[in-house]
Amino acid sequence: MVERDAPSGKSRTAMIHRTTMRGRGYYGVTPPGIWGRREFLRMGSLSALGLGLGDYLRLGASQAERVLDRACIMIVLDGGPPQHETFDMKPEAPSDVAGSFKPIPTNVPGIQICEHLPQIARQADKFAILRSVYGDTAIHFTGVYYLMTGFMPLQSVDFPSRGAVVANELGPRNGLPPYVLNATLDHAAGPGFLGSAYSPFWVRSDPSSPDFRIDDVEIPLDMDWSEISDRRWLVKRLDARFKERDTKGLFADRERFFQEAESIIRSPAVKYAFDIASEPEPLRNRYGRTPIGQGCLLARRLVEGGVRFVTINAARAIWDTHSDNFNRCEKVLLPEFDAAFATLMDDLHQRGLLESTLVVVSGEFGRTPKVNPNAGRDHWPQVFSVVLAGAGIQGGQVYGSSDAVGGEPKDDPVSMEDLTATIYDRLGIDPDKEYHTPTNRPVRLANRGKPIRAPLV
Amino acid sequence: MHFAAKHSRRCYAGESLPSFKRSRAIVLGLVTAAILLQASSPNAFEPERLIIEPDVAFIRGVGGTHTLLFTAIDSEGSRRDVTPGIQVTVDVPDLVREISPGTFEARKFGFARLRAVYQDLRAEAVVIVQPRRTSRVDFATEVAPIFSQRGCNSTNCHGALNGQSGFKLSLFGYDPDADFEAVVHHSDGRRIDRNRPEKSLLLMKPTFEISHGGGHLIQRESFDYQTLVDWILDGAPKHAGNVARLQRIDVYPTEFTVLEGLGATQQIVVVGHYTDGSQQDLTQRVRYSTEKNEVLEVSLEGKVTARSAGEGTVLVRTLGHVQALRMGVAAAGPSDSQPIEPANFIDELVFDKLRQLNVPHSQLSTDAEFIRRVYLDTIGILPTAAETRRFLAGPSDDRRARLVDELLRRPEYAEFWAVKWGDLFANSVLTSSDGTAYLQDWLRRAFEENTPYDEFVTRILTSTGSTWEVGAVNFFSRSIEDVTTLASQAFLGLGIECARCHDHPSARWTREDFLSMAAFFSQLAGKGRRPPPVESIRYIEYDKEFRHPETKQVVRPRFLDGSEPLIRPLEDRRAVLARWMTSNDNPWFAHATVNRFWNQFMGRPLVDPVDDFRASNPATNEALLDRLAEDFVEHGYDLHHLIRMIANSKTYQLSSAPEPGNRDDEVNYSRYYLKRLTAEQLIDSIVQITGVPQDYLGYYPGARAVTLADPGVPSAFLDMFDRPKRDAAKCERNESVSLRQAMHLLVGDTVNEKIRTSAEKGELASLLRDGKSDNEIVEHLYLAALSRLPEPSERDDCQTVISRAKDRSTGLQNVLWALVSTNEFLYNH
Repeated sequence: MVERDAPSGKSRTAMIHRTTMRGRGYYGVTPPGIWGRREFLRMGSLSALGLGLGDYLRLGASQAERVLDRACIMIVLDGGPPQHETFDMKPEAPSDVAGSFKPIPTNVPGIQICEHLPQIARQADKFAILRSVYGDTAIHFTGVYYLMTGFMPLQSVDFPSRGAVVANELGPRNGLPPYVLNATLDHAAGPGFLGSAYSPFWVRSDPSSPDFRIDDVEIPLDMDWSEISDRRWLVKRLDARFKERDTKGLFADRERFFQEAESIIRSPAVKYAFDIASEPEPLRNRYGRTPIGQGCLLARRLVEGGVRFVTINAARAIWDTHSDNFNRCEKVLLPEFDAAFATLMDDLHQRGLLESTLVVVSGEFGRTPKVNPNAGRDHWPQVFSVVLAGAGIQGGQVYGSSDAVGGEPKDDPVSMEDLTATIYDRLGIDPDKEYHTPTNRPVRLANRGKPIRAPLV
Repeated sequence: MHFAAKHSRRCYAGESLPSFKRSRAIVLGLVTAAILLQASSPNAFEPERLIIEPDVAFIRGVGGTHTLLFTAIDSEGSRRDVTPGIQVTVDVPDLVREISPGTFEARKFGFARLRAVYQDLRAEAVVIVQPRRTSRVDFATEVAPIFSQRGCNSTNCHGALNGQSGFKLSLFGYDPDADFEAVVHHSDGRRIDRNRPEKSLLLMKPTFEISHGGGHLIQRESFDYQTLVDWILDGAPKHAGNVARLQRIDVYPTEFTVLEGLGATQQIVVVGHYTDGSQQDLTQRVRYSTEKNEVLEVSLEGKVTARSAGEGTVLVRTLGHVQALRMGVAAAGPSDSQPIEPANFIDELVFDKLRQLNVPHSQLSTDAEFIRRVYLDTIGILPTAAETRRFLAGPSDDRRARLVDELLRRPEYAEFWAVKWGDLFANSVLTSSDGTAYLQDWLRRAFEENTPYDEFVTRILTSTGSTWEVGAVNFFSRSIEDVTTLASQAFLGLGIECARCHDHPSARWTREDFLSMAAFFSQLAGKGRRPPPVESIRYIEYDKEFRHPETKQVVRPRFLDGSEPLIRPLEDRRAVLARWMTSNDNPWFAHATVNRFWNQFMGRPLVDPVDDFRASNPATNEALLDRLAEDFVEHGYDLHHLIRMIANSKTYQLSSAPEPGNRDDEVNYSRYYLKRLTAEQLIDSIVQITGVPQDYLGYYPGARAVTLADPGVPSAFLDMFDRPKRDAAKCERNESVSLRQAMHLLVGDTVNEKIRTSAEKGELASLLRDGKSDNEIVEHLYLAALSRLPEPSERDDCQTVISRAKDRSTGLQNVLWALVSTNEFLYNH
């Protein structure tokens, strides 16, 4: 209820503010659905969906547009991958720090990574390694929240995840939802105070399972359209009787959503974007028939189709290696990640998507320099490595460094806020942009973090 | 009507408090009178009383002025501002003269009696002219608040982390000492020119005599400008010694005023009260604004004009003080409600206000509507088909009241309300860690036993022990600051979270208030057992103090009303806090509680948002809020009593179908407002109708959604329908209608799967097995989903769908799908 003059240049924020206020429950009016009525209007009705994916790509957006037309794939290695066994090896350190793995050269002279990431090593010219990132919490729950929103949890503010911010800032393309989540990280992936209009489209099922299907987009096998038509006919008849009860246009909104839902379910473009089964078998195999492998493939298809922000994780492969770190890394975690990320790099590059697509690989924290008695490593937010690629990031470089044991940042420390700012910056979003919560509290998108530019981009 | 007598200015933050007893007597008397005096159109205004506000006016110094309000009141309590048509005589004619209608200028010291005549009505007031006060201006209390009022110290301007253009103020003025330094000493003191105050940068910038990025913020003739000039002239002192400070402002008219028709006007008068006991007319020196400017418009001079029918709030601000006035504009159309006999004081107060605003109420709901509504609102589930049949067939007298009593004894009652309090306490793994289920269970039992609410809260606030044995102790599984915020918000309806880091930007809470409140929880200590799952023990360390985060000074506990308690050694400070909170005189506790329950039943809180009590956010019906709170206190904080009062009121039992004259009413309860079913209500209802249970990870088969202790239990359906994450304390939930929901209903697995399984082995299967006819099954499904029988045309429509389907079972499944997809099902109505 601050009735001071609003700061200039924030009409969009004001709009968000209104949306969230409307969603406060007792008004009964609420923000529209997953990607909002407003966005639907903006993309100009669902006839846009009639446009096939191929058509869209052939339209060949001009170079200038492509720079603005960015997307992001966020790969969350939740559990916290050990920097020592991935991108920041310390072969010179004492053996209880260095661990048992050896570094190997990459296709960029001078950059070495773990021997169990051989395929990624061959793509090192396409990505940058940030070895000096630090967080602020050693708790998974808050760490993932911090990683996905850029903010530590606060009781008074429900922060939006970056995907929701991007959905709001960039809006949908090609009739696809702007923000898709294929990860079990929902506590940190929500729209926060932006309201449910910016919730992710959550793909719950495992894309590597043979009966993978997208929730709520495909018509069940035992149902046909005539049945759905009968059902909808009856609902309309029944609703007519009750219509007078609505004084706010809620029922009309809902009816419109039903119509839009039907169009989406019938739309080939949406189905096509999610249809990883139509990819050639060899390519699917190269990504790996694992959740993270097929998740990366799905992310590529979605970004190609028009989705703005895709978040995936490795599902059951959790990097929380308090014990048996080396076996778990060598046998499962590293090979799965190696195939998935390396193929994604190559695939995005081949398709010319890397220049418009930012790829972020990060855990919620790193792991202890010292190997514990269970041959594991414990939580370590003091320093860890993050990989960035695409959207202008200059590949083939290492930014920042950690100390001799991989325990603290040494050169060019990068805070979680700086990382957030860099991500927004790469997506063409001003990291200093100010949003207002429903209580009118100002929130800057990157919480005052500074984007890294040269020499990273 | 004498609506809201004395109460429209019931105080929130720190103003004097009305006595419950007195207010009750007044309201009851007047309301009874009101009910007896129905009739008379709003346009036939025949005043029978004239009043002058204020009736004692102080003017400081010859040349000073005071505005008085002359109001005529008719037999129904309708009020008109008659200032322009008034005739005034003064018994000491040369003491004051009237310089414009209602405004008097002092000519000499002394006092006089002022007599006003309007038609044949008379009234009197006293005017006292006193010497001018020597004025010394204090920085912290008079200069700094100007920066807050004008927004100079907000995040977008000089309150930003690095200030703005080299001038940095503390955010929202939380640090007056630093601000003093910034204004007086920084930049070589160039902001202040003691010899020529009006040439000070501090004044040239905001008056836009020099270009200013923040714009033209202060008028040269304004009170604030003069305050700054006076302060600089005086040498820009940090402290002004024993100056009189503005202590509070009184705003007139004091009663809820209804403007009769478009274009009608009402002058506002504002009187400042100072610490030395003096008073001053501030009408021309405060800032006015309206919150609903399509209804009310207010001029710089405080004249309110009616723009459209409805209700709005006028805010009056000065020097960190804020007061709000609610005013209504009567609707033009004839209001012809069917008269309904009030069931209790709720109806009297609600109907009375509707009558003043000339808004009709809807008709009474049908019994079928009532049973569905009261089940959902009281125990969170739908009545079964059998329960509805029984209710509709039963004896009609008192059956609604008997049903309410019956529901309060159901086990589902406690489960349902425990979820609401779990939301309110943000009870999740995120905060309560492994104690979530224990806290949820504690809440359930407290509601089951109907623990008086003062005791309920006291038990929570004073709990100690193991998080696995004493569920309530999990309330404290968060930082002291978070506990402080939560306790104030949940139990007192006060949002003080902002003051955790800086003075509250729009309420009176200072950082000191927050920290002093936090000091009540300083003795909390805990020990945890690791590794997880974590049980921890909470206990009291009597000598632990709370220290100021920056100065590291010990902060003394102080209540939010500003008083400091006497705390004995070896006393749990939380118990002292709980005693104050739950005492009958606490200005917020009962009000906040009844507001919460009212909201749950009526769909709109009286104070909205439900936990944002502050002077600038008055209730839509102050008299009703006061009366509910008082009744709640009188009945020993009995929640069942409170629910009975609400659920048995005719107001609650009004139909949700609007009348032509009340479609636009969103705040006066002229009809039952639609509520979307909550996530748990929806899924539990669908399970009940289909007879197919829903499985939840880690819960026994058949568990209902309402019994889930933690929002982390995976469920796409619950999330889609706005189950809160409980990462912040919130009582209200979103009621979104979304595309995703539509997609899920059409082809998703929750509802479709239940309906399919229902035909295989659930409710539908057993109806088919029993050899019921289509018509009988349709009737059953209607009762189960909509709590009513189908109309003949609806039976036909259902039959059409059944006969079109490939087989009978599919047809019935289609009917069932349609029923649970209708708006009539989705909304509690």
